[in-house]
Amino acid sequence: MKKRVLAMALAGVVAASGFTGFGSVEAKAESEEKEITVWAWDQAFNGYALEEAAKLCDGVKVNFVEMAKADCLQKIHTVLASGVTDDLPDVVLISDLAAQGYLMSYPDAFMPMDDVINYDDFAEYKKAAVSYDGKGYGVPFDTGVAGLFYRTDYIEEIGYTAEDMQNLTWEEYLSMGEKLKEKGHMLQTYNPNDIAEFQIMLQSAGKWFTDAEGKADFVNNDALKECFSIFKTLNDSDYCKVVSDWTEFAGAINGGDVACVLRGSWISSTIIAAEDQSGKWAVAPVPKMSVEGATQYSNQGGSSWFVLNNSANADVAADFMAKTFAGSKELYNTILSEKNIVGTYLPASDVEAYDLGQDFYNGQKVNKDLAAWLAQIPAVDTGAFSAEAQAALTAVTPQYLAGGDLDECLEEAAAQFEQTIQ
Amino acid sequence: MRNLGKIFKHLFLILASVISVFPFYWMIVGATNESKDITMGKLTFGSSLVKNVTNAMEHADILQAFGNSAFLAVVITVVSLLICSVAGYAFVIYPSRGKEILFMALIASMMVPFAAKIIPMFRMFSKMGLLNNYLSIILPAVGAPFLIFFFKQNTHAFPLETIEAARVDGLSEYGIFLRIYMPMMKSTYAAAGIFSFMASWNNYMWPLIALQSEKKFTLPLMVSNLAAGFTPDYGMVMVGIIISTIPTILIFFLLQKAFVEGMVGSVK
Amino acid sequence: MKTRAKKKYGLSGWSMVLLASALVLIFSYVPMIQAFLLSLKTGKGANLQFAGLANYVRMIKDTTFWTTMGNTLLYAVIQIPIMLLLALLIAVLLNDPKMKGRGIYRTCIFLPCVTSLVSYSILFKNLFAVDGIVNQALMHLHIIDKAIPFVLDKNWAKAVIIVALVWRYTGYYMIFFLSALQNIDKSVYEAAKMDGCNFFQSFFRITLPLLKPIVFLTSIMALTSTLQLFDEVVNLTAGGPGNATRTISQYIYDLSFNFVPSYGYSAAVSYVVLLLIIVLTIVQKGITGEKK
Repeated sequence: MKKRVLAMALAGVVAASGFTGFGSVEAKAESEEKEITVWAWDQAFNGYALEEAAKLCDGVKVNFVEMAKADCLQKIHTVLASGVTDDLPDVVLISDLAAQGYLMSYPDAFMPMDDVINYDDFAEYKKAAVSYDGKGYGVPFDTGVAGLFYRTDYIEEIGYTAEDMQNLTWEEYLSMGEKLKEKGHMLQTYNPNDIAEFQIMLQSAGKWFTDAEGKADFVNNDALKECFSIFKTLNDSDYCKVVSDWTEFAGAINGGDVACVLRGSWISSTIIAAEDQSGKWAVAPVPKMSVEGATQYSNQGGSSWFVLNNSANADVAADFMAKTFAGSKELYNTILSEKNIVGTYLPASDVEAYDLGQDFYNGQKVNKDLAAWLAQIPAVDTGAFSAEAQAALTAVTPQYLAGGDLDECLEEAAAQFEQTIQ
Repeated sequence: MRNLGKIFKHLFLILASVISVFPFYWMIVGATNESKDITMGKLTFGSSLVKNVTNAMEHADILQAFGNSAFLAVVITVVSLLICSVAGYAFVIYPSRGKEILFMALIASMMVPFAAKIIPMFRMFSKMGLLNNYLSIILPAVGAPFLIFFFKQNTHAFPLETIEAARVDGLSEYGIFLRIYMPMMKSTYAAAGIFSFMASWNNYMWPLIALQSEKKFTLPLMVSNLAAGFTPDYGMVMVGIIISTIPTILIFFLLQKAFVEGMVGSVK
Repeated sequence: MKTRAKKKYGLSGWSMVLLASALVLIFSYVPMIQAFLLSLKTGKGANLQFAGLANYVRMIKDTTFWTTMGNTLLYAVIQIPIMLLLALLIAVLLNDPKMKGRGIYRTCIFLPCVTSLVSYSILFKNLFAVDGIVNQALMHLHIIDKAIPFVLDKNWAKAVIIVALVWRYTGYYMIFFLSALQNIDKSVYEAAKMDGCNFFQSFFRITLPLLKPIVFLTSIMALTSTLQLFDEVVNLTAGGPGNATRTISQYIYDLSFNFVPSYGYSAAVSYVVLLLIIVLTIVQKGITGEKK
């Protein structure tokens, strides 16, 4: 009996305490201030930029909802696919390579921004990434302008200077491997299961995994073939530090195992985490491929803001974006000088933060260099199916590395790609 | 010969225990180390615990998320144990063709990959106006097929003569369940309590989709955010992970006595 | 008299299953039916058209579907028996009231299933790295003379996943067995001992038959969770090398959320998984002889 009373009491307490906390509508303070809700990832990077943007815009409060990147993208898919129009966020962050897929999947979900912002203010390749069917939708944000980050002390040991690093071809770059190995260093990391570096290589030559129609461009793509051949060289070499995921990758950089890292500019935040290596790093343009049209400038990653058409404060959000990410040099100056976030807003390319030398990079004006390379990145139409293409290619990579015929592998991957995109 | 067998058993259990505990030990070590030591696989204690704890607390409102998760886990565990145990009991004690079919249908529902259900579920709760409301987490969680299944299977060991005796004594059908079955099946309830608590506490995919405001986020969502940046601070992540592990271990400690005690007072 | 009593009990019986069943039917079956309708549509994102069984036909030629399905079944076939046998063995050992330190053993062996995936995946990768502890130990003991690239080789990577799964869930399934063992009357064992049964005899003649319902339950639970395996593989190998460790659930997720979404196809693949689990459940029911 006693127990039953106890159980009832417990149930009562739970019900009482619970239901007061339920309810989906939270009481909002009546005020002039408009609140916009933003879904994005990475507090220290995107969250920080939003915070700074909010400071510039009176009367707008930004409610930043942080999620892990994959989670954020999944949640946006779910909300848009369900067709629900209540409780939508006002702004979402979408990575550039995924953007076309969203624009294709959910017509009318995103607000066209051609009348709100001036797309000529942004780097050409970014504009292409956030446009669909001739209309601009996203507000371009950060860039992943690629660089070859390297250890100055290690390359000195093998007799290289900063000047030698400026105009490397892939052949020259790879030839450093053996020499570094003799001195007890590795050239770079190598993950046989990750072909992310292909993005950098392909775009540096103005090519991509897919063609303008979104069809697989595998078998007759010389740039892609060169990527695979470089990948195999790395695979067969003994001068790469083999890693299998991000943690090991970051560990190899911070632990001083490797001399070079080829990545988008955002990798800087990982590199500078090893404070004991301050003054020992520098950045050069990426190595040049041998195919026609090859340059030393490329991109990896980066994302853009999208305003949702049916959200409660869509207009406020669009206005906010126009005033900040598409209109404020001051914002880009702040986030660049404080957090090394390189934007793609061209009018801000002369802000003073670019002229600051960075101690970690031995006084190199890293941001200025990156910005100069940014303007020269070949624009490529990455289309909507980059993830599918990379999945198909990754699947055949082990076969190729084990000695398989490249053309056959690529044909097989192309067939698998067609299968996935139907 | 006897002793040899005994030594062998202990050796086996010691080995299993060491292998089991090692990653847990490593997680605790990780909370005291710098991020880059963790990625390089350092196995000894460091001196960054305070820094890691401070960072974790500053990064996210972990206490709030902890409270949210605890509230949900307690409500879901209590309610689901009640309604699932009575259902599992009834499937065995009052068997019928119809119930057999119903039971099969319930079990089948746990076999659908969750990814396929997410979007329809989201639409459904949106129509009910329950998104961003804890009812959207509680309602689908308390009717748990695997708990019904668990109680049903354990009820097979329940002595039927006890029920007959109780009926003769004039107890109602619900009375038999409440006064005889529940107290006797303590060990089953204890184990089910652990399962239910763990399922709710670790629930990730659905709360991620159904909850919209950060104030309502559960602990796994917050911990996942800790590890999400371009450059995760693994020391801080380990702190978050440990905080999210403690309650399950506590529950296990609280309930393990009960589930090894055995069926209480078998046949009267 | 008897039928009236039966009717009365029948009513109590139905009322007892009502609440839980209603919740499952509403919150699981409504989405399930919608997902089934979705599986009959093709198209990208929200642009869907009815296409009959086209998605099911598409699967026949889909190499990724077959690869991931094969991997997943392989995990199930190897991992589930090993894990359940281990869990049962440990549970029986720990059920001996005379066993010293059983509380400590029990806690230790339970720990892996509460250890966070994030931390244990970092550790597992450290252990199985080319220059990791496992390789160093094996080379030191002269079992191998060249390091094994565990997570980079298509067969070893599968083995690592299986080891990780067994490690992580044995303690979890041990609890099912431990709690079920409590429901066996101790006097049965004493009687068996009087008849001269040794440990193994009483295990096979008494314990196992009485545990049949729980063996059935755990095998269905393990089957369901292994066929829906996702997190472990994502964290340990991300599906690689190539597609060597990728699971069907990863593929379902990719189809919905990583690629330009094909929700219809994704739902169709999910339904094939459901069908497969149901078939295997019926088979298992035959094996464990759970028939009344």
